[in-house]
Amino acid sequence: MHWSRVPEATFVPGIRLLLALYSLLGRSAFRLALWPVVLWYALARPAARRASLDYLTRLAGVCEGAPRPRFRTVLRHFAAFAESLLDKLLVWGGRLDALRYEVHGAAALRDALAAGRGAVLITAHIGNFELCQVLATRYTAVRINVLMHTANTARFNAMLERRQLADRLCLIPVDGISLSTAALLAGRVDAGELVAIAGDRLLTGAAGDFQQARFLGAPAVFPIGPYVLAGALGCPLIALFATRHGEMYRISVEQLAERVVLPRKGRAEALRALLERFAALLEAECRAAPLQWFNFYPFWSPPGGG
Amino acid sequence: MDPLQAEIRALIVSCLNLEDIQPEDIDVEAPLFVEGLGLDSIDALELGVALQRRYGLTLAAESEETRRHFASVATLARFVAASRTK
Repeated sequence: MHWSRVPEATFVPGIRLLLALYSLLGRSAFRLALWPVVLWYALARPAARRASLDYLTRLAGVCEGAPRPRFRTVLRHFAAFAESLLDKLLVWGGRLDALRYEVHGAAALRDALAAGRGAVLITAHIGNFELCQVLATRYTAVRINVLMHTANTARFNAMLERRQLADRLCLIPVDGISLSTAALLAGRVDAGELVAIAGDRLLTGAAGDFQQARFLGAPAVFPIGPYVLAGALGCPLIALFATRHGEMYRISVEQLAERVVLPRKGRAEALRALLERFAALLEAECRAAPLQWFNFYPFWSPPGGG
Repeated sequence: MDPLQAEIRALIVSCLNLEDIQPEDIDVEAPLFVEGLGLDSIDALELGVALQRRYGLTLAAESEETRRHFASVATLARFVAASRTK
């Protein structure tokens, strides 16, 4: 099943209720009230439950200190997801003050932007990607163009729109890296703007849009779009993750390439090297924040395979 | 020959690093993609970005129209001539 068919929006009515609760009574009340919602979700969404258990099993297979893969851990996994949704809403609602964070490697971003040229940020559905957006905006004062598969998140976006997004953030709906998208983004990157794209979700299931790389002990499917885009734009490629550790978000910034070059001869090798580096960074993030991996679909299955 | 066609041929060769091909070798009427010059979708993106940077083009989101513009050097030259902003 392609991830865009996973109805993640079913989570939204519950989270809105919980957000209201959070506003009235604070985070402890939110956490307490979270459990019935999470339990309902785990029972009503067997596919998400299986995906969580699959991930937890693979993680435990390669990481000694990982949480035991069992139903109770799946519930904690979903609870972490719900909490990340709350934090997302806080960030997008301009309530960054409600969150604490520390940044590692911000110099990589500043250096890349110092030349006046933009960069491609490669992110993932781990922790809280939204925190990266606002923080990067804060740190650099340039616009961030977020490429999004909106078919999946339309309802969630509607809720966020009501919260008056800052105009420094631009969501660009994409269902593949088209020529028009690349040309549009070239203009923005040349103007010093940032382009953010997820490195762990396929935009299309089309062959040629993905490659496999080893992730948590087995080959998983990753999109090549981010590398192809950064290559076409000829700009730096920077990995950006934000994961929660207790009450503190840890934001890590790491440059994957100062300038992505995909030569005609050896293109597959160049792509693979970048992809493997990203997968290794992602795996390190999963080890450090085991319950914040938020891809609740069969991540290790090739598209169309089930 | 149309100077714009010559310019686009040179741009294709330089932006895609086509080592074994001289700009003059490219038949302006021949298909650029798959057959003919044999470029692929990644080449298309690089070429699209290079054309945008050189001529300030805006490419339509509608892919069929863009595909027609990118069919050959000749169609590209006509498209650039009609829609360049620099």
